[in-house]
Amino acid sequence: MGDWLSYSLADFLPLSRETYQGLFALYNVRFSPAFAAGLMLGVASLGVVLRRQATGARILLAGFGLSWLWIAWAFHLQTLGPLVWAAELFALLFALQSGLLLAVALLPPTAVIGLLLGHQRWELALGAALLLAVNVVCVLLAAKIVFLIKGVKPRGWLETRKAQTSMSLYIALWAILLAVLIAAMLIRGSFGVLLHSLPL
Amino acid sequence: MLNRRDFVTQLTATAAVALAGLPLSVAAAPVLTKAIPTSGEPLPVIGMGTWITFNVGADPAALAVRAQILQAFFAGGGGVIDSSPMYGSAEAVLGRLLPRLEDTQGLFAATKVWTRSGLAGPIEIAESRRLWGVERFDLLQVHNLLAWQEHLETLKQMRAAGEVGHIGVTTSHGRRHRELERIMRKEPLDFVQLTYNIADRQAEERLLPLAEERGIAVIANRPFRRKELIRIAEPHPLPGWAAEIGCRTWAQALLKFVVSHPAVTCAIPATSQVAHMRENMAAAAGPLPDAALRQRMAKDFAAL
Repeated sequence: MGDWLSYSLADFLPLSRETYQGLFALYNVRFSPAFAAGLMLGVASLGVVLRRQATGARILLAGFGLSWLWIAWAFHLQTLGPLVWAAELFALLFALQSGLLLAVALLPPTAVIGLLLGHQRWELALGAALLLAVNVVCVLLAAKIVFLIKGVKPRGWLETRKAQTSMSLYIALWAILLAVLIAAMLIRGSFGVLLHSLPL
Repeated sequence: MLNRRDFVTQLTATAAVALAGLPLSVAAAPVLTKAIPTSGEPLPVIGMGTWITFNVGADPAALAVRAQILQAFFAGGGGVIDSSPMYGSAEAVLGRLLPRLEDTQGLFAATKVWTRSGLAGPIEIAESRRLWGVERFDLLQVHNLLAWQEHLETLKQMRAAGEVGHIGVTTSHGRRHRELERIMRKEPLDFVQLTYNIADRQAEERLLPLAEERGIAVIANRPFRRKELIRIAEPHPLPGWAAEIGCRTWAQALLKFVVSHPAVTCAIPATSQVAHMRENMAAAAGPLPDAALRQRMAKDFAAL
């Protein structure tokens, strides 16, 4: 531990200030259309804020979440990654932040599930759960498709091995969620029939 | 085709002809070399590091400057280029630029293995070889003693098989000197790399004498403690002794102090400026301070 304390923060920086500033210039050149798109989204976001609607806020948060995910990939992994080995960690943190924003965006259906369960409105609670599952499955699928289209691949053998484990976990999680979704749809259908057949 | 040893020998001999009128920043005098104790191979006393300065990725403007720096390095009779997988894109940058140069015959390619896993060591070394574009390294070192037991076994096997010229271990910032000393006493090393400069002289107490005793070459890193020592010295005029050892700048004096220690084989200053590289390489020629002058230099520097 004493050994670690003898390092200053500057000792962990493997690139100069000029190189770091140069990275932003390279990023802007490489992803220039995204820069314009980001600006337009920013202006659109202002419109959404001014309208003060709950749905708009959710869309805004989801948009921020996806933007964070973009930064994790385009800046941290693609631009900073070749120069700074810790950039993968930064990307992970940005992806987590993105997950948090998306989770906030998805929170309302989750809260609705809880409220409806509390009121024993099973059918409606299942409907909200269905919406949540659709959201999560679609977000995961969208992220995967973006990675495939943009050719995001591990660079070294160690990353490849880690990616294989992550991919297995991802597929398992995605399959479970899809199964839950299908099950929710089926149950909802039969549950609804069951509820309607009861002499309530 | 000349091998490196012949090249350095010839360069040293032919450069004995005085080239009056050239600025001091061009190494006109014979390039100072020291022999690697285990192989006898002469090594120019000024090499170059790549930490931060060569981690520039694919920036075309920065790459062009690095190409000029390498050109100035070889023109000045430079030999050791030291890098590491830890230095981001530095190895890839070297691999991209070295083939563009007309003359790299003096190159002594040195990199490190830097992974916690002993099993991953050979894979990382193969990747470094690919990035540099060299068939084999002249020197492979265990970076900052990380998993040194496992990696050193790999390096010893590689050296026995002729897959690497020399092997060693590194440390920096004066850390883990006791452990380094234990390793130097029991392992058959060709090189150690450690921090040594006019202000950080702990290595003089035990490590440098031990290196001499055991016949281990020493690469001195951080000869300027990044830029700190130059910043301290530059506002002050050069003392009279600087002219005695052919130094026109503080950077040259600081380098000559480092490489004049009998146990130090070479120093590896890093720079991102062509002018500074020329200035550094000029310190690879001319007289070196003797023990008495070294004491005076250290005293004068401490008084700044």
